[in-house]
Amino acid sequence: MLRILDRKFLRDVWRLKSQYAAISLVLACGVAMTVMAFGALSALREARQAYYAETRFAEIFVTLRRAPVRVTRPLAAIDGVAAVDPRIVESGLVDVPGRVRPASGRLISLPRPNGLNRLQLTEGRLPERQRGNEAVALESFLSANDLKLGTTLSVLVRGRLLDLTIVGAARSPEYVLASTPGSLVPDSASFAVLWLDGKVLAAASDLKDSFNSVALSLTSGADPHQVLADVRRELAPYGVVDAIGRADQPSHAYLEAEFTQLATIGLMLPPIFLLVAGFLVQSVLSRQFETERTQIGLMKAFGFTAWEVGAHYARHAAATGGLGLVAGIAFGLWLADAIMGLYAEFYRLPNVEFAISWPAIGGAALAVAVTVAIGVWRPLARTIAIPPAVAMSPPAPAVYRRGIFDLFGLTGALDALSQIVLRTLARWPLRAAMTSFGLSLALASLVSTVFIFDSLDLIIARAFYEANRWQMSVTLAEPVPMRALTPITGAPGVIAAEGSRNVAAEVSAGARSKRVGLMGLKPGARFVQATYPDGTPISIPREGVILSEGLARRLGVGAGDDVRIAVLERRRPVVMAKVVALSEEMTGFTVMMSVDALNRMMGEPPLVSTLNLLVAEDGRAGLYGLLKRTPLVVGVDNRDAVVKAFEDQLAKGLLTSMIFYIGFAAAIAFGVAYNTARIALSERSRDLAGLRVLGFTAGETAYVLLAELGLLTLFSLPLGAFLGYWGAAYFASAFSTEFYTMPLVVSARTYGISVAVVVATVTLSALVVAWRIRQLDLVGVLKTRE
Amino acid sequence: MADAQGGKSPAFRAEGLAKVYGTGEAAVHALRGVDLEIGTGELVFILGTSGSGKSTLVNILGGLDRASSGRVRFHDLDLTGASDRALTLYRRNSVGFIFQMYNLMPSLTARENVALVTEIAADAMKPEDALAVVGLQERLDHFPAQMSGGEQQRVAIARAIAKRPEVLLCDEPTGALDSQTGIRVLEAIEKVNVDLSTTVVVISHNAEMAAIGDRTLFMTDGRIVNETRNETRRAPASLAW
Repeated sequence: MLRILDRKFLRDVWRLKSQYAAISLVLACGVAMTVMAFGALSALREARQAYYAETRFAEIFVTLRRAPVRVTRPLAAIDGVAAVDPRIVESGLVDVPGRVRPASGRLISLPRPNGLNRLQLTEGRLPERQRGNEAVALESFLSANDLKLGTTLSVLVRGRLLDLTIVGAARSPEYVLASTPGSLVPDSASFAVLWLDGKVLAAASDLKDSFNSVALSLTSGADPHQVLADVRRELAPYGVVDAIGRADQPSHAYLEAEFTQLATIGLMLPPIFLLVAGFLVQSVLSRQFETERTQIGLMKAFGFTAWEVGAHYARHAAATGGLGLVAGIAFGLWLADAIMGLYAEFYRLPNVEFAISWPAIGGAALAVAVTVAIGVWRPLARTIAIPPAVAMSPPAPAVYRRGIFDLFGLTGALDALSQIVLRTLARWPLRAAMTSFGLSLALASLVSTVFIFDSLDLIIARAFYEANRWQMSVTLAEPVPMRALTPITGAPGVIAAEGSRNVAAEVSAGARSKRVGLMGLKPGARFVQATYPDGTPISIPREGVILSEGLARRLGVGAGDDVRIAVLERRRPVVMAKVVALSEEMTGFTVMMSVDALNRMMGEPPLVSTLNLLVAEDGRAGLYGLLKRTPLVVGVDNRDAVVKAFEDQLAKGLLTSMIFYIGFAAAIAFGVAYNTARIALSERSRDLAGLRVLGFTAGETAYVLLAELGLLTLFSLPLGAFLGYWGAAYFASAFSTEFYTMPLVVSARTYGISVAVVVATVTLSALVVAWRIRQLDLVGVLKTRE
Repeated sequence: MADAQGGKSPAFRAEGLAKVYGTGEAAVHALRGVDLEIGTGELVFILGTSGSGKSTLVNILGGLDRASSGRVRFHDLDLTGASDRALTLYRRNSVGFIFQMYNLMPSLTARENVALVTEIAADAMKPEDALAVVGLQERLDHFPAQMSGGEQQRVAIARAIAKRPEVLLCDEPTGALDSQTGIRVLEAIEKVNVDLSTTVVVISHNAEMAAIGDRTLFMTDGRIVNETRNETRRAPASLAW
């Protein structure tokens, strides 16, 4: 048997259902976003963890020139090392059937059955022992190029042409997201990772009984930095090119950066929703307090205690919060499940299974409870405190005065309906300001998410069309004098060619250091251009280095400071260099300097390791043919293909998520606009009905409400745009990873789209309310008390 | 049938007007067949107890509500069959309302409350002139909250007459006022009737007050049960209650 107050509660909720639903919608969006982001994140992390464990993914990776196999014994003896897996890794160019441009190839000796970085066959079989012409290929490369098992690929390794037949497709923990060295985003189609019998590869690369790469796993509790230092020291005599921990392993680092982004989104946006929801709870319940004043008085007069009456109204807030929470969790879990397949495909992790993040749900529940409690506090305190006699007498009428608009002589020139609009705004400035602020937040959340499209456009424009003006970039296996490249630079179709030299280096200042690509350019180079953040070019200095801004920030240095540069290749020189200028670099951390200075520093004659080309359209196919036959070449990039890979990668990941967030931001705008209009309608239904009685049409009467809403929307735009820009700045820095810096740029298009979405949702809610004005009970409403 | 005063053409003519709220067992019969004529320029009082159907009748005459059955015409306009739009125009151009609750816009001054109506009406007075008719020429720029109840009701009358309405409908116009203030309000209503030849219908509980009109209709249980005609109209100032 329901008590009377329970019945009243249920009927009240039913009567106010649309307003409560609008609040719950906003709450649900915030909750759903958190639950989705962290649910997806924990699913991905768990899948990665399980995958790494299953395949024994190594924790230290060392590249060296050449070491005899016996060296693995002292390595295994290093304190903290659990397993040592020596191998051969070679680079080469791969001629892929049906593809004009050669792919970059990486040939790796097959892991031992109980070794590290095990392969997971998804199709076919492993190569048979000593069968030199068989290989297993990375699954993502085969699918991106639509290649079947049995296909034969021609691979140029150290001047030898190998014809390899693909007998199996596999996944590898080292290449979850496969990216060619130096490339910005994973591009599976252009990166052929092939595993073949170790003896065959050793023969092809003159590394019999030797290895040039080693992977190590650690015992639990071992300090990776200490082990890395010990390994580096042990292998020093064998020409260490590169020694990194798992954190710097490209595939792992890329995944980690993506996961961090996901977590950032899950933490950043929901507070906006909660703020707005708290505001809505407060305004709707305050309104309910005013309309039910007499009832509150009566209940108290009949003998209900203040606390019983308070609890009755607190239940309304709890119902809204509960509905928002439950709907948000359900929606968030549904979303997480729906996008799990997308993420699994995007991140290429096997066995990604839908997971529920209980901490995220618990956190969301707590946040909703706090939000609703803050929102309900004031109206509830008034409900409890008001004496019954006061509650039952009519509230003091609103006193209007000549206000700010009258001072400016604004109202005199206006018709009476417009005067009502302006005076109402001036009478409750705080409420008007809060509503406007709510709409500002909606606009801000749109601007600060939609701007990402501008940012990506700018990255593409700057990174691919201004900073890099080449059409084709050829990576060489080792540095050579420019004249050795005459067959390429003189080939038909090549319009212009510029060489540069790239070496791996560790740049440091004080205790901070970072592994970077050190790029040597000719002063006056046209195809690769450093620029100041405003886009003006920086000329390459004869001495000193140009640091990208992000790197300078990370190292805590500025122009004029000195940095220590330790080259990680060949003779491994270490020098101090002055930072001459800071450049805008959106894609990774780079250091630029004069190529002559770089060669001097290396103690070598003038050499280049990359060739940047301008090639006539009709000369490209022929040039690709030539490059496939040139032993020195290990990679060929085509700018248009790089741009496409970049766009594809982002379109799948970031942009898909963006669509959700834009929808969520629109929900905020709707929640605020709809509730504002509904509250205004119920508060002023008497005045509005009065207007109808006096002979104003429903449209003219609606104008009073809609003009007010329109003005509040108009007022909200400047602040919303400002907050949006501020939010975009925060997003830009939070989204920036080691792989790209997200520039802060907000275009007129972004402001335009965001304003259009806000205006559209406000208009929609206004139409709903305008429709209700038609249904006003003209007779009944005039009988209720003033 | 309650007939119009001899010699004046009827402003309103109603036949068999009925109004039922709700359906089935819950149905409430507010009007049970009212036949009525009200002459142009006539000042008619309707008396009756609560629930007798007075307000329902006046709401239907004013285009605020529709009859369930029967017909009512205002001159040539059929109010029973008129569209929402036509009723809105009828209220806008032809009808002035005065309620017991004044229903002023709290955010507008006295002058602006009247201007609200004069802006949309076809042949309106200046708001200042309308307020002068009710003796409020000194209170033009006061907001409702700054005025007494009588003053607010007089603003409501000024608002109602400013459009030079053909008909003025008053639902308990003095119900919330003391007698002295009530008399001033009645004087204002009478002045409109005499000076502008406006047809006036006043609902009241107060039989005494009906002496200032041409005719009095008595309603009980949704029907007009009696009517009386005054040979001479008394001046409001001579009333006391």
